[in-house]
Amino acid sequence: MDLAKGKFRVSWGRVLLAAPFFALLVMFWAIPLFQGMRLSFESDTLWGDSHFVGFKHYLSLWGDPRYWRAVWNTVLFTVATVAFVLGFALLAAHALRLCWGRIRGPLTFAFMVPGLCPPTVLALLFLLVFHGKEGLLNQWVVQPLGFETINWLSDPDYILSAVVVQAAWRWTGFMTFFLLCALNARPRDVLDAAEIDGVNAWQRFTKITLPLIAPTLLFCLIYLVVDCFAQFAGSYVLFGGSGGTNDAGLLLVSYAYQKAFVGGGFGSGAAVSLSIVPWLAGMLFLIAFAPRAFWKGGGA
Amino acid sequence: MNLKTIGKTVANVSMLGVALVFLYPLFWMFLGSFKDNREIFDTSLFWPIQWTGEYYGILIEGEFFNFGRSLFNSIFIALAQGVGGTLLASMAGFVLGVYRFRSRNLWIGIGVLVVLVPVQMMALPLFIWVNEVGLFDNPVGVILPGLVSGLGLLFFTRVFRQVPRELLDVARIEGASECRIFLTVLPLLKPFLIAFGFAHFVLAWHAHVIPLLILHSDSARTLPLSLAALFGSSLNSPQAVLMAGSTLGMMPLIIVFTVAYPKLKSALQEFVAS
Repeated sequence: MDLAKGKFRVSWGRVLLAAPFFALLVMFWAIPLFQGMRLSFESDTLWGDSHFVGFKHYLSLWGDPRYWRAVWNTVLFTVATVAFVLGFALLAAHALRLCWGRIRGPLTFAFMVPGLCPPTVLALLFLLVFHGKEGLLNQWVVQPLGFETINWLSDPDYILSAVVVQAAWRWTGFMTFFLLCALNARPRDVLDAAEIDGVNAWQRFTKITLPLIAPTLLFCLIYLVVDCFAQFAGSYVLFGGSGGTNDAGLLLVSYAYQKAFVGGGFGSGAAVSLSIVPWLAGMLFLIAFAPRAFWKGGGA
Repeated sequence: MNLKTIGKTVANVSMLGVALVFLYPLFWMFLGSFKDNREIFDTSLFWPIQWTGEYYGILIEGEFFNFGRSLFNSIFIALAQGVGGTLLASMAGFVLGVYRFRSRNLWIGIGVLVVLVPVQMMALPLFIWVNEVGLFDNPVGVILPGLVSGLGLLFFTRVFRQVPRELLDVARIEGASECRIFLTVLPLLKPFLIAFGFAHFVLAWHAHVIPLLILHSDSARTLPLSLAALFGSSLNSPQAVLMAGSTLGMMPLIIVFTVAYPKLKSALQEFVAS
Protein backbone atom coordinates (compact mmCIF):
# COMPACT_ATOMS: atom_id res chain seq x y z
CA MET A 1 0.00 0.00 0.00
CA ASP A 2 2.74 2.31 0.94
CA LEU A 3 4.59 1.28 -2.15
CA ALA A 4 1.69 2.34 -4.33
CA LYS A 5 1.77 5.78 -2.82
CA GLY A 6 5.48 5.87 -3.35
CA LYS A 7 6.07 6.60 0.33
CA PHE A 8 7.61 3.32 1.36
CA ARG A 9 11.13 3.72 2.56
CA VAL A 10 12.99 1.86 5.24
CA SER A 11 14.63 4.31 7.51
CA TRP A 12 17.74 2.56 8.74
CA GLY A 13 18.44 5.17 11.38
CA ARG A 14 15.16 4.44 13.10
CA VAL A 15 15.57 0.69 12.84
CA LEU A 16 19.06 0.97 14.28
CA LEU A 17 17.85 3.00 17.24
CA ALA A 18 14.84 0.86 18.08
CA ALA A 19 16.38 -2.53 17.27
CA PRO A 20 18.46 -3.19 20.41
CA PHE A 21 15.51 -2.70 22.73
CA PHE A 22 13.13 -4.87 20.75
CA ALA A 23 15.76 -7.50 20.03
CA LEU A 24 16.35 -7.98 23.75
CA LEU A 25 12.63 -7.88 24.31
CA VAL A 26 12.17 -10.82 21.96
CA MET A 27 15.17 -12.66 23.39
CA PHE A 28 14.43 -12.31 27.09
CA TRP A 29 10.73 -11.60 27.26
CA ALA A 30 8.89 -13.08 24.28
CA ILE A 31 10.89 -16.30 24.03
CA PRO A 32 10.61 -17.14 27.74
CA LEU A 33 6.91 -16.32 27.55
CA PHE A 34 6.37 -18.75 24.67
CA GLN A 35 8.60 -21.38 26.22
CA GLY A 36 6.62 -21.01 29.40
CA MET A 37 3.43 -21.62 27.47
CA ARG A 38 4.92 -24.69 25.83
CA LEU A 39 6.22 -25.94 29.16
CA SER A 40 2.82 -25.60 30.75
CA PHE A 41 1.46 -28.14 28.29
CA GLU A 42 4.16 -30.69 29.00
CA SER A 43 4.57 -33.34 31.65
CA ASP A 44 6.27 -32.63 34.94
CA THR A 45 9.71 -34.06 34.24
CA LEU A 46 12.86 -32.26 35.19
CA TRP A 47 15.25 -31.70 32.28
CA GLY A 48 15.01 -33.92 29.27
CA ASP A 49 12.17 -36.27 28.35
CA SER A 50 8.80 -34.71 28.59
CA HIS A 51 5.69 -35.24 26.58
CA PHE A 52 2.67 -33.23 25.63
CA VAL A 53 -0.14 -33.43 28.15
CA GLY A 54 -2.47 -30.71 26.91
CA PHE A 55 -4.43 -28.80 29.47
CA LYS A 56 -3.79 -31.33 32.24
CA HIS A 57 -1.90 -28.91 34.48
CA TYR A 58 -4.46 -26.20 34.07
CA LEU A 59 -7.30 -28.61 34.77
CA SER A 60 -5.65 -29.89 37.91
CA LEU A 61 -5.16 -26.29 39.06
CA TRP A 62 -8.87 -25.76 38.63
CA GLY A 63 -9.55 -28.41 41.26
CA ASP A 64 -6.65 -27.46 43.52
CA PRO A 65 -7.78 -25.70 46.71
CA ARG A 66 -4.25 -24.44 47.37
CA TYR A 67 -4.27 -22.70 44.01
CA TRP A 68 -7.54 -20.94 44.77
CA ARG A 69 -6.19 -20.02 48.15
CA ALA A 70 -3.19 -18.41 46.42
CA VAL A 71 -5.44 -16.55 43.98
CA TRP A 72 -7.63 -15.27 46.79
CA ASN A 73 -4.61 -14.24 48.87
CA THR A 74 -3.00 -12.44 45.97
CA VAL A 75 -6.13 -10.50 45.12
CA LEU A 76 -6.76 -9.64 48.77
CA PHE A 77 -3.14 -8.60 49.25
CA THR A 78 -3.25 -6.43 46.13
CA VAL A 79 -6.52 -4.71 46.95
CA ALA A 80 -5.53 -4.05 50.55
CA THR A 81 -2.09 -2.72 49.60
CA VAL A 82 -3.34 -0.50 46.80
CA ALA A 83 -6.20 0.91 48.86
CA PHE A 84 -3.97 1.66 51.81
CA VAL A 85 -1.03 3.05 49.86
CA LEU A 86 -3.00 5.29 47.49
CA GLY A 87 -5.39 6.52 50.16
CA PHE A 88 -2.59 7.39 52.49
CA ALA A 89 -0.39 8.84 49.75
CA LEU A 90 -3.15 11.15 48.59
CA LEU A 91 -3.68 12.38 52.13
CA ALA A 92 0.03 12.76 52.81
CA ALA A 93 0.65 14.62 49.54
CA HIS A 94 -1.98 17.19 50.50
CA ALA A 95 -0.63 17.44 54.03
CA LEU A 96 2.93 17.88 52.76
CA ARG A 97 1.84 20.86 50.70
CA LEU A 98 0.58 22.47 53.88
CA CYS A 99 3.87 21.83 55.64
CA TRP A 100 6.37 24.50 56.40
CA GLY A 101 8.47 25.02 53.26
CA ARG A 102 11.76 24.28 54.88
CA ILE A 103 10.86 20.84 56.18
CA ARG A 104 8.72 19.80 53.21
CA GLY A 105 11.70 18.62 51.17
CA PRO A 106 13.37 16.64 53.96
CA LEU A 107 10.03 15.09 54.96
CA THR A 108 9.32 13.92 51.41
CA PHE A 109 12.86 12.57 51.26
CA ALA A 110 12.37 10.70 54.54
CA PHE A 111 9.11 9.18 53.28
CA MET A 112 10.91 7.78 50.27
CA VAL A 113 13.89 6.21 52.00
CA PRO A 114 11.99 3.00 52.85
CA GLY A 115 11.47 2.57 49.12
CA LEU A 116 15.23 2.21 48.76
CA CYS A 117 15.31 -0.75 51.11
CA PRO A 118 15.69 -3.98 49.11
CA PRO A 119 12.66 -6.23 49.66
CA THR A 120 14.84 -9.02 51.05
CA VAL A 121 16.36 -6.72 53.66
CA LEU A 122 12.93 -5.33 54.28
CA ALA A 123 11.60 -8.78 55.00
CA LEU A 124 14.47 -9.43 57.42
CA LEU A 125 13.69 -6.18 59.22
CA PHE A 126 10.04 -6.93 59.40
CA LEU A 127 10.65 -10.40 60.64
CA LEU A 128 11.88 -8.71 63.78
CA VAL A 129 9.10 -6.13 63.74
CA PHE A 130 6.50 -8.88 63.58
CA HIS A 131 8.40 -11.32 65.77
CA GLY A 132 6.25 -13.28 68.25
CA LYS A 133 5.91 -11.70 71.65
CA GLU A 134 9.01 -9.58 71.59
CA GLY A 135 8.40 -8.03 68.18
CA LEU A 136 8.21 -4.28 67.92
CA LEU A 137 4.61 -4.21 66.78
CA ASN A 138 3.49 -6.25 69.77
CA GLN A 139 5.61 -4.41 72.29
CA TRP A 140 4.90 -0.91 71.06
CA VAL A 141 1.44 -0.98 69.56
CA VAL A 142 -0.58 -4.06 70.40
CA GLN A 143 0.21 -4.38 74.11
CA PRO A 144 0.03 -0.68 75.00
CA LEU A 145 -3.42 -0.60 73.39
CA GLY A 146 -4.43 -3.38 75.75
CA PHE A 147 -4.77 -6.24 73.28
CA GLU A 148 -3.39 -9.74 73.51
CA THR A 149 -0.11 -10.12 71.67
CA ILE A 150 -0.57 -11.34 68.13
CA ASN A 151 1.73 -13.82 66.53
CA TRP A 152 1.87 -11.98 63.23
CA LEU A 153 3.81 -14.57 61.31
CA SER A 154 2.08 -17.75 62.42
CA ASP A 155 -1.49 -16.78 63.20
CA PRO A 156 -3.27 -17.40 59.88
CA ASP A 157 -5.60 -14.47 60.49
CA TYR A 158 -2.75 -12.00 60.48
CA ILE A 159 -0.11 -13.39 58.13
CA LEU A 160 -1.37 -11.57 55.08
CA SER A 161 -1.55 -8.27 56.92
CA ALA A 162 2.14 -8.67 57.70
CA VAL A 163 2.86 -8.85 53.98
CA VAL A 164 0.61 -5.86 53.34
CA VAL A 165 2.32 -3.74 55.99
CA GLN A 166 5.64 -4.53 54.37
CA ALA A 167 4.53 -3.55 50.87
CA ALA A 168 2.84 -0.42 52.19
CA TRP A 169 5.94 0.66 54.08
CA ARG A 170 7.98 0.24 50.96
CA TRP A 171 5.80 2.01 48.41
CA THR A 172 3.85 4.69 50.23
CA GLY A 173 6.68 7.22 50.11
CA PHE A 174 7.28 6.95 46.38
CA MET A 175 3.57 7.14 45.59
CA THR A 176 3.27 10.19 47.83
CA PHE A 177 6.12 11.76 45.89
CA PHE A 178 4.46 11.07 42.53
CA LEU A 179 1.17 12.52 43.71
CA LEU A 180 2.90 15.51 45.28
CA CYS A 181 4.53 16.30 41.93
CA ALA A 182 1.14 15.96 40.23
CA LEU A 183 -0.45 18.29 42.78
CA ASN A 184 2.31 20.83 42.31
CA ALA A 185 1.85 20.70 38.55
CA ARG A 186 -1.81 21.76 38.70
CA PRO A 187 -2.30 25.16 37.05
CA ARG A 188 -2.52 27.72 39.84
CA ASP A 189 -4.90 30.12 38.12
CA VAL A 190 -7.68 27.53 37.77
CA LEU A 191 -7.56 26.67 41.46
CA ASP A 192 -7.40 30.31 42.50
CA ALA A 193 -10.32 31.23 40.26
CA ALA A 194 -12.39 28.40 41.74
CA GLU A 195 -11.53 29.50 45.26
CA ILE A 196 -12.50 33.12 44.55
CA ASP A 197 -15.77 31.94 43.02
CA GLY A 198 -16.55 30.27 46.32
CA VAL A 199 -16.16 26.61 45.32
CA ASN A 200 -15.62 24.70 48.55
CA ALA A 201 -12.56 22.61 49.27
CA TRP A 202 -14.23 19.25 48.73
CA GLN A 203 -15.61 20.28 45.36
CA ARG A 204 -12.28 21.74 44.34
CA PHE A 205 -10.79 18.37 45.15
CA THR A 206 -13.33 16.21 43.33
CA LYS A 207 -14.06 18.47 40.37
CA ILE A 208 -10.66 20.01 39.66
CA THR A 209 -7.84 18.21 41.41
CA LEU A 210 -8.93 14.61 40.83
CA PRO A 211 -9.38 14.96 37.05
CA LEU A 212 -6.05 16.75 36.83
CA ILE A 213 -4.09 14.14 38.75
CA ALA A 214 -6.04 11.19 37.30
CA PRO A 215 -3.27 10.08 34.91
CA THR A 216 -0.70 10.04 37.72
CA LEU A 217 -3.09 8.27 40.05
CA LEU A 218 -3.73 5.72 37.35
CA PHE A 219 -0.04 5.18 36.79
CA CYS A 220 0.45 4.56 40.53
CA LEU A 221 -2.50 2.20 40.55
CA ILE A 222 -1.25 0.11 37.63
CA TYR A 223 2.29 0.06 38.95
CA LEU A 224 1.17 -1.12 42.37
CA VAL A 225 -1.19 -3.77 41.04
CA VAL A 226 1.50 -5.24 38.78
CA ASP A 227 4.10 -5.09 41.55
CA CYS A 228 1.77 -6.77 44.05
CA PHE A 229 1.03 -9.57 41.61
CA ALA A 230 4.72 -10.14 41.00
CA GLN A 231 5.49 -9.93 44.73
CA PHE A 232 7.81 -12.70 45.80
CA ALA A 233 10.72 -11.56 47.93
CA GLY A 234 8.61 -10.47 50.88
CA SER A 235 6.71 -13.66 51.38
CA TYR A 236 9.71 -15.78 50.35
CA VAL A 237 11.90 -14.48 53.13
CA LEU A 238 9.12 -14.31 55.71
CA PHE A 239 7.87 -17.84 55.11
CA GLY A 240 10.88 -19.46 53.47
CA GLY A 241 9.07 -20.05 50.19
CA SER A 242 6.15 -21.82 51.86
CA GLY A 243 2.77 -20.27 52.40
CA GLY A 244 2.98 -19.92 56.18
CA THR A 245 0.45 -21.53 58.53
CA ASN A 246 -2.49 -23.01 56.59
CA ASP A 247 -1.15 -21.32 53.44
CA ALA A 248 -2.54 -18.06 54.77
CA GLY A 249 0.36 -16.17 53.22
CA LEU A 250 0.60 -18.16 49.99
CA LEU A 251 0.84 -15.89 46.95
CA LEU A 252 0.67 -16.94 43.32
CA VAL A 253 4.32 -16.32 42.52
CA SER A 254 5.49 -18.23 45.58
CA TYR A 255 3.13 -21.08 44.71
CA ALA A 256 4.64 -21.28 41.22
CA TYR A 257 8.11 -21.33 42.78
CA GLN A 258 7.07 -24.09 45.19
CA LYS A 259 5.56 -26.24 42.47
CA ALA A 260 8.57 -25.91 40.22
CA PHE A 261 11.54 -26.01 42.57
CA VAL A 262 10.28 -27.69 45.72
CA GLY A 263 7.86 -30.06 44.02
CA GLY A 264 10.07 -30.53 40.97
CA GLY A 265 7.19 -29.98 38.53
CA PHE A 266 8.36 -27.51 35.94
CA GLY A 267 5.24 -27.99 33.83
CA SER A 268 2.74 -27.31 36.58
CA GLY A 269 4.90 -24.50 37.91
CA ALA A 270 4.83 -22.83 34.51
CA ALA A 271 1.07 -23.34 34.39
CA VAL A 272 0.69 -21.51 37.71
CA SER A 273 2.93 -18.68 36.49
CA LEU A 274 1.02 -18.25 33.26
CA SER A 275 -2.34 -18.45 34.94
CA ILE A 276 -1.36 -15.26 36.76
CA VAL A 277 -1.59 -13.33 33.51
CA PRO A 278 -5.40 -13.57 33.11
CA TRP A 279 -5.89 -12.72 36.77
CA LEU A 280 -3.74 -9.67 36.43
CA ALA A 281 -5.41 -8.70 33.16
CA GLY A 282 -8.81 -9.07 34.79
CA MET A 283 -7.72 -6.95 37.70
CA LEU A 284 -6.50 -4.26 35.34
CA PHE A 285 -9.61 -4.57 33.22
CA LEU A 286 -11.51 -3.41 36.27
CA ILE A 287 -9.59 -0.21 35.84
CA ALA A 288 -10.82 -0.31 32.27
CA PHE A 289 -10.44 3.26 31.19
CA ALA A 290 -6.78 3.03 32.13
CA PRO A 291 -4.75 3.33 28.90
CA ARG A 292 -7.01 5.99 27.46
CA ALA A 293 -6.72 8.35 30.41
CA PHE A 294 -2.97 7.73 30.59
CA TRP A 295 -2.44 8.75 27.00
CA LYS A 296 -4.98 11.54 27.15
CA GLY A 297 -2.80 13.14 29.75
CA GLY A 298 -0.03 13.30 27.19
CA GLY A 299 0.55 16.13 24.77
CA ALA A 300 0.54 15.94 20.96
CA MET B 1 -5.36 31.42 65.57
CA ASN B 2 -7.52 30.91 62.54
CA LEU B 3 -8.48 27.65 60.92
CA LYS B 4 -5.69 27.75 58.38
CA THR B 5 -2.93 28.04 61.00
CA ILE B 6 -4.42 25.15 62.94
CA GLY B 7 -4.58 23.07 59.77
CA LYS B 8 -0.97 23.85 58.98
CA THR B 9 0.18 22.97 62.47
CA VAL B 10 -1.69 19.68 62.39
CA ALA B 11 -0.19 18.86 58.98
CA ASN B 12 3.34 19.67 60.12
CA VAL B 13 3.13 17.68 63.32
CA SER B 14 1.39 14.66 61.81
CA MET B 15 3.74 14.44 58.83
CA LEU B 16 6.72 14.69 61.14
CA GLY B 17 5.25 11.84 63.14
CA VAL B 18 4.67 9.73 60.04
CA ALA B 19 8.22 10.38 58.84
CA LEU B 20 9.55 9.13 62.19
CA VAL B 21 7.42 5.96 61.95
CA PHE B 22 8.70 5.40 58.41
CA LEU B 23 12.33 5.84 59.34
CA TYR B 24 12.11 3.93 62.60
CA PRO B 25 12.71 0.41 61.26
CA LEU B 26 15.76 1.64 59.35
CA PHE B 27 17.11 3.46 62.35
CA TRP B 28 16.56 0.35 64.39
CA MET B 29 18.42 -1.68 61.77
CA PHE B 30 21.34 0.72 62.03
CA LEU B 31 21.38 0.51 65.84
CA GLY B 32 20.96 -3.24 65.57
CA SER B 33 24.31 -3.50 63.83
CA PHE B 34 25.93 -2.74 67.19
CA LYS B 35 23.90 -5.12 69.35
CA ASP B 36 24.38 -8.77 70.24
CA ASN B 37 21.53 -11.21 69.65
CA ARG B 38 20.04 -10.84 73.11
CA GLU B 39 19.98 -7.07 72.85
CA ILE B 40 18.35 -7.17 69.42
CA PHE B 41 15.39 -9.18 70.59
CA ASP B 42 15.01 -7.14 73.75
CA THR B 43 12.78 -4.32 72.53
CA SER B 44 12.96 -2.40 75.80
CA LEU B 45 16.53 -1.62 74.80
CA PHE B 46 16.71 1.16 72.27
CA TRP B 47 20.37 2.12 72.26
CA PRO B 48 23.03 -0.57 72.12
CA ILE B 49 24.69 -1.22 75.47
CA GLN B 50 28.07 -0.84 73.92
CA TRP B 51 28.97 0.82 70.63
CA THR B 52 31.25 -1.61 68.92
CA GLY B 53 32.39 -1.85 65.34
CA GLU B 54 33.07 -5.54 65.88
CA TYR B 55 30.21 -6.75 63.68
CA TYR B 56 31.22 -4.52 60.80
CA GLY B 57 34.67 -6.08 61.12
CA ILE B 58 33.26 -9.61 61.00
CA LEU B 59 31.15 -8.66 58.00
CA ILE B 60 33.95 -7.15 55.99
CA GLU B 61 36.43 -9.89 56.85
CA GLY B 62 33.97 -12.21 55.18
CA GLU B 63 33.47 -14.83 57.84
CA PHE B 64 29.95 -15.55 56.61
CA PHE B 65 30.09 -14.48 53.00
CA ASN B 66 32.36 -12.42 50.81
CA PHE B 67 30.92 -9.00 51.49
CA GLY B 68 33.14 -7.02 49.13
CA ARG B 69 32.48 -9.41 46.29
CA SER B 70 28.69 -9.33 46.80
CA LEU B 71 28.68 -5.55 47.03
CA PHE B 72 30.72 -5.33 43.84
CA ASN B 73 28.33 -7.73 42.06
CA SER B 74 25.36 -5.64 43.14
CA ILE B 75 26.92 -2.39 42.02
CA PHE B 76 28.06 -3.87 38.73
CA ILE B 77 24.71 -5.43 37.86
CA ALA B 78 22.57 -2.49 38.98
CA LEU B 79 24.79 0.05 37.25
CA ALA B 80 24.86 -1.88 33.99
CA GLN B 81 21.08 -2.29 34.09
CA GLY B 82 20.46 1.33 35.07
CA VAL B 83 22.67 2.83 32.37
CA GLY B 84 21.94 0.26 29.67
CA GLY B 85 18.21 0.13 30.33
CA THR B 86 17.94 3.91 30.16
CA LEU B 87 19.91 4.07 26.95
CA LEU B 88 17.93 1.35 25.17
CA ALA B 89 14.55 2.64 26.33
CA SER B 90 15.40 6.22 25.33
CA MET B 91 16.58 5.11 21.89
CA ALA B 92 13.41 3.16 21.19
CA GLY B 93 11.28 5.83 22.86
CA PHE B 94 12.81 8.44 20.58
CA VAL B 95 11.75 6.52 17.50
CA LEU B 96 8.22 5.95 18.80
CA GLY B 97 7.80 9.43 20.24
CA VAL B 98 9.12 11.55 17.40
CA TYR B 99 8.14 9.75 14.19
CA ARG B 100 4.71 8.86 12.91
CA PHE B 101 4.53 5.57 11.08
CA ARG B 102 2.10 2.79 10.51
CA SER B 103 3.23 0.19 13.02
CA ARG B 104 3.91 2.70 15.78
CA ASN B 105 0.89 1.78 17.89
CA LEU B 106 1.80 -1.88 17.59
CA TRP B 107 5.19 -1.27 19.18
CA ILE B 108 3.66 0.84 21.92
CA GLY B 109 1.15 -1.94 22.50
CA ILE B 110 4.02 -4.39 22.94
CA GLY B 111 5.49 -2.01 25.52
CA VAL B 112 2.19 -2.08 27.43
CA LEU B 113 2.23 -5.90 27.33
CA VAL B 114 5.73 -5.97 28.79
CA VAL B 115 4.51 -3.79 31.65
CA LEU B 116 1.55 -6.06 32.26
CA VAL B 117 3.50 -9.32 32.17
CA PRO B 118 6.59 -8.57 34.24
CA VAL B 119 9.50 -10.88 33.69
CA GLN B 120 9.40 -12.03 37.32
CA MET B 121 6.26 -13.92 36.49
CA MET B 122 8.12 -15.89 33.87
CA ALA B 123 11.10 -16.47 36.12
CA LEU B 124 11.01 -20.21 35.58
CA PRO B 125 11.02 -20.35 31.76
CA LEU B 126 13.46 -17.45 31.72
CA PHE B 127 15.75 -19.44 34.00
CA ILE B 128 15.59 -22.45 31.68
CA TRP B 129 16.16 -20.26 28.64
CA VAL B 130 19.14 -18.45 30.18
CA ASN B 131 20.54 -21.88 30.93
CA GLU B 132 20.15 -22.97 27.34
CA VAL B 133 21.82 -19.81 26.10
CA GLY B 134 24.72 -20.64 28.40
CA LEU B 135 24.51 -17.64 30.70
CA PHE B 136 23.75 -19.58 33.89
CA ASP B 137 25.64 -18.29 36.91
CA ASN B 138 26.82 -15.37 34.84
CA PRO B 139 25.97 -11.76 35.73
CA VAL B 140 25.30 -11.12 32.04
CA GLY B 141 22.38 -13.54 32.31
CA VAL B 142 20.81 -11.24 34.89
CA ILE B 143 21.73 -7.97 33.21
CA LEU B 144 20.43 -8.66 29.70
CA PRO B 145 16.84 -9.51 30.69
CA GLY B 146 16.97 -6.53 33.03
CA LEU B 147 17.66 -4.10 30.21
CA VAL B 148 14.15 -4.40 28.84
CA SER B 149 11.75 -2.06 30.57
CA GLY B 150 8.25 -1.62 29.17
CA LEU B 151 7.69 1.24 31.56
CA GLY B 152 10.84 2.91 30.24
CA LEU B 153 9.64 2.61 26.66
CA LEU B 154 6.30 4.25 27.48
CA PHE B 155 7.98 6.90 29.60
CA PHE B 156 10.46 7.96 26.93
CA THR B 157 7.87 7.79 24.16
CA ARG B 158 5.94 10.44 26.06
CA VAL B 159 9.03 12.44 26.94
CA PHE B 160 10.20 12.62 23.33
CA ARG B 161 6.74 13.60 22.20
CA GLN B 162 7.16 16.93 23.98
CA VAL B 163 10.38 17.86 22.27
CA PRO B 164 9.53 20.95 20.19
CA ARG B 165 8.88 20.10 16.53
CA GLU B 166 10.82 23.16 15.36
CA LEU B 167 14.00 21.84 16.90
CA LEU B 168 13.66 18.53 15.09
CA ASP B 169 12.75 20.24 11.82
CA VAL B 170 15.79 22.46 11.97
CA ALA B 171 17.99 19.43 12.52
CA ARG B 172 16.33 17.61 9.65
CA ILE B 173 16.74 20.54 7.25
CA GLU B 174 20.39 20.68 8.21
CA GLY B 175 20.51 17.14 6.92
CA ALA B 176 21.31 15.47 10.22
CA SER B 177 20.77 11.71 10.32
CA GLU B 178 18.31 10.23 12.78
CA CYS B 179 21.02 8.98 15.12
CA ARG B 180 22.55 12.44 15.01
CA ILE B 181 19.23 14.10 15.90
CA PHE B 182 18.82 11.67 18.79
CA LEU B 183 22.25 12.54 20.15
CA THR B 184 21.50 16.26 19.82
CA VAL B 185 18.21 16.06 21.67
CA LEU B 186 19.41 13.70 24.42
CA PRO B 187 21.30 16.25 26.56
CA LEU B 188 18.15 18.39 26.73
CA LEU B 189 16.39 15.55 28.51
CA LYS B 190 18.95 15.04 31.24
CA PRO B 191 16.50 15.23 34.18
CA PHE B 192 14.32 12.55 32.58
CA LEU B 193 17.29 10.31 31.88
CA ILE B 194 18.48 10.66 35.46
CA ALA B 195 15.00 10.06 36.88
CA PHE B 196 14.44 6.89 34.92
CA GLY B 197 18.01 5.69 35.30
CA PHE B 198 17.74 6.07 39.04
CA ALA B 199 14.46 4.15 39.25
CA HIS B 200 15.83 1.38 37.07
CA PHE B 201 19.04 1.20 39.11
CA VAL B 202 17.10 0.83 42.35
CA LEU B 203 14.78 -1.83 40.96
CA ALA B 204 17.79 -3.75 39.63
CA TRP B 205 19.42 -3.57 43.04
CA HIS B 206 16.23 -4.90 44.63
CA ALA B 207 15.72 -7.76 42.17
CA HIS B 208 15.36 -11.07 43.94
CA VAL B 209 13.71 -13.90 42.01
CA ILE B 210 15.73 -13.77 38.82
CA PRO B 211 19.17 -13.34 40.42
CA LEU B 212 18.21 -16.05 42.93
CA LEU B 213 17.60 -18.52 40.11
CA ILE B 214 20.40 -17.53 37.77
CA LEU B 215 23.28 -16.67 40.08
CA HIS B 216 24.18 -19.89 41.73
CA SER B 217 27.71 -19.75 43.07
CA ASP B 218 28.58 -17.70 46.15
CA SER B 219 30.98 -15.48 44.25
CA ALA B 220 28.33 -14.44 41.73
CA ARG B 221 25.65 -13.55 44.28
CA THR B 222 24.36 -10.04 44.76
CA LEU B 223 24.23 -8.47 48.20
CA PRO B 224 20.48 -8.94 48.83
CA LEU B 225 20.88 -12.62 47.93
CA SER B 226 23.85 -13.10 50.24
CA LEU B 227 22.04 -11.39 53.09
CA ALA B 228 18.93 -13.50 52.57
CA ALA B 229 21.05 -16.66 52.43
CA LEU B 230 22.89 -15.71 55.62
CA PHE B 231 19.60 -15.08 57.31
CA GLY B 232 18.22 -18.39 56.20
CA SER B 233 21.30 -20.31 57.29
CA SER B 234 21.09 -19.97 61.04
CA LEU B 235 19.37 -17.92 63.67
CA ASN B 236 22.33 -18.30 66.00
CA SER B 237 24.75 -16.34 63.88
CA PRO B 238 25.03 -12.78 65.11
CA GLN B 239 22.08 -10.85 63.74
CA ALA B 240 24.17 -7.71 64.03
CA VAL B 241 26.27 -8.86 61.07
CA LEU B 242 23.09 -9.05 59.05
CA MET B 243 22.09 -5.59 60.21
CA ALA B 244 25.54 -4.24 59.41
CA GLY B 245 25.39 -5.78 55.94
CA SER B 246 21.93 -4.36 55.34
CA THR B 247 23.02 -0.92 56.53
CA LEU B 248 26.11 -0.85 54.34
CA GLY B 249 24.12 -2.32 51.46
CA MET B 250 21.68 0.56 51.54
CA MET B 251 24.39 3.23 51.55
CA PRO B 252 25.03 3.25 47.79
CA LEU B 253 21.29 3.61 47.16
CA ILE B 254 20.94 6.46 49.64
CA ILE B 255 23.93 8.27 48.14
CA VAL B 256 22.59 7.90 44.59
CA PHE B 257 19.16 8.98 45.77
CA THR B 258 20.48 12.09 47.51
CA VAL B 259 22.31 13.13 44.36
CA ALA B 260 19.40 12.36 42.04
CA TYR B 261 16.56 13.72 44.21
CA PRO B 262 16.39 17.34 42.94
CA LYS B 263 16.53 16.19 39.31
CA LEU B 264 13.95 13.52 40.04
CA LYS B 265 11.56 16.13 41.32
CA SER B 266 11.91 18.56 38.42
CA ALA B 267 11.67 15.77 35.85
CA LEU B 268 8.55 14.32 37.37
CA GLN B 269 6.84 17.65 37.78
CA GLU B 270 7.49 18.48 34.16
CA PHE B 271 6.42 15.03 33.00
CA VAL B 272 3.16 15.20 34.90
CA ALA B 273 2.40 18.73 33.76
CA SER B 274 2.83 17.92 30.08
